[in-house]
Order: sequence, then structure tokens, then C-alpha cells
Amino acid sequence: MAAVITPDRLRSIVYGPLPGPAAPPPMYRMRFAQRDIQPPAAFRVTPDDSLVLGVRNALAGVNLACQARLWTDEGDIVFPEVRGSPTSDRVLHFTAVQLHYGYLVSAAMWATGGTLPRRGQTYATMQVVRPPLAAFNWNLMMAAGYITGSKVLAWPYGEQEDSIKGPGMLYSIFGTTPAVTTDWTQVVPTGAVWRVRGIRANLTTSAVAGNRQVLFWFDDGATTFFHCHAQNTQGPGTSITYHGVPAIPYTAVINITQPVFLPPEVLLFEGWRFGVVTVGIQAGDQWGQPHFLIEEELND
Amino acid sequence: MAMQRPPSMLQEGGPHLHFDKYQSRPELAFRVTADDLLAIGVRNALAGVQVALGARIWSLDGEFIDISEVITPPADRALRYTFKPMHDGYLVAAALESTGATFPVRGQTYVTLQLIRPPTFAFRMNRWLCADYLSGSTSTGWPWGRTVGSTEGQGALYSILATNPAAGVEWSQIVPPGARWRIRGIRATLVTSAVVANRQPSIVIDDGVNTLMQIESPNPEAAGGAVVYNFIPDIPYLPLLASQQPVFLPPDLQLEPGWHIKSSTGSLDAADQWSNIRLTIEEWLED
Repeated sequence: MAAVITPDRLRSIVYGPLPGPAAPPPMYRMRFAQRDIQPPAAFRVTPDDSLVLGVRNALAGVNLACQARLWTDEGDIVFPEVRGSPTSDRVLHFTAVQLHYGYLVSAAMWATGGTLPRRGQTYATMQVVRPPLAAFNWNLMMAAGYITGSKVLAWPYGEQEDSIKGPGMLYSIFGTTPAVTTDWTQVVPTGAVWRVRGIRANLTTSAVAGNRQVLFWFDDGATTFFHCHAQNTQGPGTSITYHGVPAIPYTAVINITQPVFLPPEVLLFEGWRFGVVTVGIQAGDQWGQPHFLIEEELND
Repeated sequence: MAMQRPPSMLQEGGPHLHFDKYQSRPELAFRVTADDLLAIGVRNALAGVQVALGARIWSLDGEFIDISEVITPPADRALRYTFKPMHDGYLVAAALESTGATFPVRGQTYVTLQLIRPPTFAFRMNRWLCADYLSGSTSTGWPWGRTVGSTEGQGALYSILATNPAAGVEWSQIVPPGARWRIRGIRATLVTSAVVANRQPSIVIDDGVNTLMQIESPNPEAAGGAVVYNFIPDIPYLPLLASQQPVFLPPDLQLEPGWHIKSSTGSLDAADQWSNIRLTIEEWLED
């Protein structure tokens, strides 16, 4: 038989059946204080404090809104709010909202409008700071994470999420068609980390004699990490499409398609590069526009 | 020698806890009024799922006000919101669970919970509660719920039978709107006509318009053949064995909504027939 402790009988242990729900004992109902309430001291703010929003964004047309709830000393709830459209340059930008005398009780930032980001496109942070805003004194980190169509950045009960933990946004990206007899190169944009999931590019060779050997390369902007070479050379007057595919075995050209092994996880930071070098390239050889399958996260 | 246990704290004469029943102070952040709405966001991929909301408000008079709602979301993976008005008091708990006879698995029903202020068509979100997938036995809620992105972790596994194309036509499968797919395997049969020519099957990934990747079978198929192609992540190239041809797929091949995975067969004859196209897919809801 279970021991039951009712609020009015804390001084004794009662053995017996649960009291019926329709018959609460006298003085059972609670009432809440509505005067002289003391909120948590940690979230006391003044006009010297600012709510600072940091955003890195890669998607053009995203609109963000941020709203906080501030309980003033007079007992009113006010809603400091800011809305804006961040640039899609992946660069970290801060926006500051001055606060008032009172207690910060919640804050949230979310995407609004018709263009909603997906994970990997809009990374935001929220914190309370003190001036100067040019080099602010940070004193309360509130939340950090990606904003998506239905997932927001919030405090309290939000999260502190790294910008690089996966999964990122998948992109189908075209490189630039190089001039004739020139190899192509692709640079990871500033503020991004790329996982290269596939490379596709076509080489049409001229009639000039000689075998061409294709190698995909990866570097840190200056120094090459490694080459991944095609198993077979390409002769003059031919057209072969090279497919860099993670973990694909080395094999022969099949139906003018040449698979090229890529490591299963090629992670490249901003400014790092990948491209092709054609050993034995001849006048008139032409690479078509390269095409990449990329998973991107923001490099914060 | 065993120590003697101290007497129970609840025995007569011991120290006591006394609650102030008239001056309680719940957490200020969750003070709500009739101006506040509880917003339930749902993306769902499984027909027949029902999402049940249960919330509890503690009124200023000390009464519990229970709020409930059952939502039957369409299985189109689109984001929809349902709003429930609050009352004067403190929100002390809110939870979402699947109910009824059809339970989703992780990757099928993604829900969010938040407190907002109108207008509902462009609401002002001001208190976030939780975001997670629902399943048969796992619910989400506040407090102690999680905020989990929709593309994190394990997705839902599907065995999909693609539509057989007409003779002489390639097969193609599109990723539906609101989904992200990881291709975990494909099996398809190509029966070739008597017209003499070597067919060269391959698998193609495109972004809806442009080819991103093409992976060829290591061996061609002759006229009058019937070969089952097994596209398998990370498999080495192997010869044809007992009419089964292994073909390599990337180990972590992920596709966005609107992208295609399809066949492309060199020298395909008008009477050649693709059939029994079975795809093993891991799916997340792309939020």
C-alpha cells in the first residue's frame, strides 16, 4: 500500500487510498504572488546593456526577426524587437538592441517571409553585452545555432550549437569554364567549410598528339595536400567526362566516363582550393564547365 | 558494525517543509496571458499520423487549466502551424505526442512548440519550447524536451518500389519536396531485346536539371540478357555473377528535394525493359 502525503498533513504519513480528486482538502488551492516578486538576479539589465545578435548567412533573401521580453521595474512587459535582412556573404555581422531597466525573461530569433533557410545556411548567436560595441564586453551568452524554417534561436531552452557539426546544406554548384588549354580551379568561399561530395568535368582534347593525364588536386591556398589521378590517360581528339566520386574504386574509362577516386571525407576550409591539372595538356584542349556536389557549413 | 539509520524526516517532531500557498513565484519567463498563443509546427510524411498536444497552465487563482488538441497533419512534408490560445497564468508544461493507431518513426513527423503573439500569419515568436521528431514511444515537450534539427541523427528507412518505365525508357525517381534522401541501395533489372548491341547501364544523379554524377556499371550487357543491377554503397567493382551485377555507389550519397536518381543506359533499345526498381532510402524532413 502506498504512502500518501497530502500538503496539509506533512507532519504525518497517511496510509490509505488516494483522496478523491473532487474533494481537495481545505486550503489546498495555491495563489501566486503578484507583488514584490524577485526575478533571477542574473538577468537584471539596464540601458547600458545591449542584446547583440551575430549572424552569418549564405542565402540571399533571408529575413530575420528577433524579439525579447523584458519585464520592467514597473511590472510591464516590453518587447524590444529588431528585423533585418542579412547579407549572404557568410561574413559575421553584429546587430545591437539597447535594453531598458528590467529583467530579461526571454528572447528569440527566427526566419520570416518567403525565403526560409535550411540547416547550414544561416547561423546566429545571441548574447547580452556592454559597450563599446566595437569591442564589446561580453557577459551573457544565450544561444547559438542554425535557424531553419521552423527551428529558431532562443533563450531560455534554446541550444548552444557549433556551426560545424553536420549535416550541412547540399549545393549543386557550377565552376567557371576555363580558357582553352587551361585547367580550372575552385576556391572555397570566405566563411564556408566544404565537404566535396562529387566533381564532374568534361575534357575535350584537340588533335595534337600526346596522352593527357588528369589529376584532381586539393590545397590550402598555397600548398598541395594530395592529388587524385585518373587511372587512364586520354588521347587526342577525344571527349571524356571525369567523375570524382568519394571512395570509388579505380577503374577504366567506361562509355566515355572516367571515375576518379576522392577520399570519403574531403573537408576544405575557406580559401582552400581544389582543381584539375592536366599533365601533357596540348593547345586546343578544352575543359567544359565543372560541376560540383558540395555540402556546406558556415565556418564560425 | 552497521550504522543505525537516522529517523525519518517525516516523523512527528522532525524538521518540516512549509509551502507558502499564497505567495508562490513560478518562473517569470512562462507567465502567459490571453494574448499569447501556443504554436505547434508540424512537418509530416506519414499518412494517418495524429499529433496530440497536452499543456497545463496554472492560473493566478491556483487552478490547473488543461489544454489539449489533436492534429491530423497531411503527409506532404510541408510546414504547418496550429495555434492554441493561452489563459492568464503560468505555463508549467506542454507536450506533443503521437496518438491513435498510426505511429511514426524517427524521420517522419517533426514538431516544434513555441509561445507566440499574433498575428498568426506572421507571428512574433518570443518563447521557444522544443523541437524534435515524434515516434511511437518518444514524445517531446517542455520542460526537459530537446531542440534537435530535422536533419540530425538517424532518418526513417523506406523501401520504395519505383514505377516501371515503358519499354525503351529509363527509370527515374525524384526526391519529394521537403525531404532529404540518403541512398542506401538500389536494385533493378534490365531485360534486353534481341537487337544486337552492348548496353551500358549507369546511375545518374542530377539537381533537377544538370547532371552531378554518373557511375557506370563495370560491364556491358549483351542482347537477350536479363541482368539484375545492385547499386551498393562502397562496393568494389566485380564481374557479373549469376546474373547479378554489383555497381558502386558513394557511401554517403545525399540528395536534396527535387533532385533525381535515375538510370542512363548507353545503346538502350526500344524494346529493352527496366523493371523491379527497388530503392532503399533513408529520409529526413528538410526544414
